[in-house]
Amino acid sequence: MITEQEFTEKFNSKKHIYTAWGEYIKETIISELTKDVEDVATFLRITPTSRVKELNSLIQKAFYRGKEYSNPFDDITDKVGIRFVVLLVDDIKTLSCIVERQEWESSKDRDFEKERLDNPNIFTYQSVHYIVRNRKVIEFEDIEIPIGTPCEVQIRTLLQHAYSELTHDTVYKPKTRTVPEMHRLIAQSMALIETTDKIFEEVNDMLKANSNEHLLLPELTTIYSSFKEPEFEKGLNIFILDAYKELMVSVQMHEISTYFREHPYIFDLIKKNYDRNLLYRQPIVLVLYYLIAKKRSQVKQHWPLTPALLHPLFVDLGYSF
Amino acid sequence: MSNQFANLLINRVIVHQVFERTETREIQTPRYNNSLANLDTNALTILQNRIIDVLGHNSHSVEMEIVNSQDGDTFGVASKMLDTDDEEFIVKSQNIAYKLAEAQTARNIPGGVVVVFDGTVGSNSDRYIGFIKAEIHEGFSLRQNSEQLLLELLSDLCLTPQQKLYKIGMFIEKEGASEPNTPRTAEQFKAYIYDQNMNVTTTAGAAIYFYESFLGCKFSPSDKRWTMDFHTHTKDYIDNLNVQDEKKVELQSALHSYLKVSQSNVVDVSAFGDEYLTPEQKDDYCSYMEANEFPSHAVAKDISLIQNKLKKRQITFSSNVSLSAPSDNFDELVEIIGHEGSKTTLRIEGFIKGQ
Repeated sequence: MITEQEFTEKFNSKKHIYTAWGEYIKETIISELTKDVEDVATFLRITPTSRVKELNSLIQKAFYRGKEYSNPFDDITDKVGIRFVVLLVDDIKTLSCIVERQEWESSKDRDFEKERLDNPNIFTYQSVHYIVRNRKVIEFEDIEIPIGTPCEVQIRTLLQHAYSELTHDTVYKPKTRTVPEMHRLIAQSMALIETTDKIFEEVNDMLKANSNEHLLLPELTTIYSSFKEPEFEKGLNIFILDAYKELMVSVQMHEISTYFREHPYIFDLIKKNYDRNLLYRQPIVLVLYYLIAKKRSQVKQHWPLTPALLHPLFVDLGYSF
Repeated sequence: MSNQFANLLINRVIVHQVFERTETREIQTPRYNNSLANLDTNALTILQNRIIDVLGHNSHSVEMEIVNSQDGDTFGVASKMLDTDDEEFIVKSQNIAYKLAEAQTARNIPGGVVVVFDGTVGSNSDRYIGFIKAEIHEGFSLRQNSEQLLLELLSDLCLTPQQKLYKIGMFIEKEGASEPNTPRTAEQFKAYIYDQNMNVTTTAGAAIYFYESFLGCKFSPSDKRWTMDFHTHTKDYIDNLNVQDEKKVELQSALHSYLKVSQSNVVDVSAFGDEYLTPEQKDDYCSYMEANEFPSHAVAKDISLIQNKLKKRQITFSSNVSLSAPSDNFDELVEIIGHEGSKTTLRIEGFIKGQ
């Protein structure tokens, strides 16, 4: 059995390897994520950092937690760890896929969905944990990482994270004396969190079902970019599109493209007015011109902002407002 | 559809002032300006809005025929201004202001501001020359001092959105007609005129001085034909509309009164749509009329070709039974009560007189 002394020496001599391995995994996952999601910075609700455990907390875990490790140094697999915090349970799946499809070996150490089924009456800590180990020697930032070096990757939702922030240091880790009432309250909060995460998921599904017409935006941006670099205030574009949701049902993107191929002078109008106001700099202005040409009474009827902003667009196309 | 009024750019602008006739009905010399107006972007935008709102597509402007086009006529002077330098432009615009003063023969025609401007318009950037006569009126301006809000009377406002207080005429050069140094003819231009007086039967007389005496224009002889087309296409549109039959009968009555009873001196797709159709239907109707090549501005109402059609209204049923009745009081003579299965119940005023 390894002594505290030997454990300390071994850990100190390998610390830089854990640091490098953590960084390597973090960077790999983030760069993979850029392929799957539009905006990584928003997707990851808390900036992930890889952290090597403090020596003292490792020693506590190995020797003072009442756990009988036969080989504490190797059995403790979270000497380095990274945590990813996302908004939705669905987002966890996106990250899980990324972890699992890499060439390293990954094993699911904790899987809250499985744990729920195994212990249906218990509401407690929920996260997905992977232990990731390299199958071959990896060189990263001039450091050689030996085969099979472990790193713990935690993935959880913001709400699960809040739960864990409240409980981890106080209730579970050291054997603090806790009263049953406190455990009961904490279990209640997790029940609520699980419910809320489900509701979030439902809201998100509804949003997705409603956002079909937003799919036009990338194509509109492409058309706009062909003559000038647009600005893109996503909120404003979606706000206006939402107001014309019913009108847009029957509009196909190719009809819009054709319209602008046949009326190229409109691009010059937009360029001329580019500095006049924000609206002219947004891809959505193309939809507005198209709708004014085709359905102007309804454009006026459903316009969600002040008439003074819409009037010039009518005038540009020669229509009485 | 051509975008005749899209992309309006204003190039040169000059403002003069004309006055009402003296008590002895003599012309008071206009107050002439010797320099072009220097308008900033915002002012130009407002001017553009004013012009397009009354002259553009779906407005109540009328395309007219240019009749007086000799050198001494307004058209003769104006059409040459497109190719002149600024100095010449200023002199000729003064000449035009005087022509308006000349045309204002009646004492009750108020004075006002004359704006003469040129530029380009339409997807092909056709050149145009335009004229606005804007009456001066009163209004208030909101001021704030340290304690309160104040209304300050302004007695020299013009070109506010009040459309009955300004008139606009515009000669637009037809595509490919801009060969310099050739004599300009009326055929090379289109004329569009907006004057609210012109569009209402009771005030039509008051409009003559602007469109005819001043600009030398007349209603086009093809207006009869347009009025007939308006009737035919609008009737077809209503027949094919996806609404209940009772609603169609109502709309056909509306079409009849729009042409026969209304005080409007013009027919105009946009006005009919505003009055009788929902916004969705109006958009469809405008596209339908556009597709049938009916103008997107107003045309003078002339029902001489459809007199007879407007006398009788005919309803045909799916069983080939048809019913005809005088249109003038159709609604009083024929009441459609409803359907039951394949049967329709009508209530008809009068007895059977002949078979």
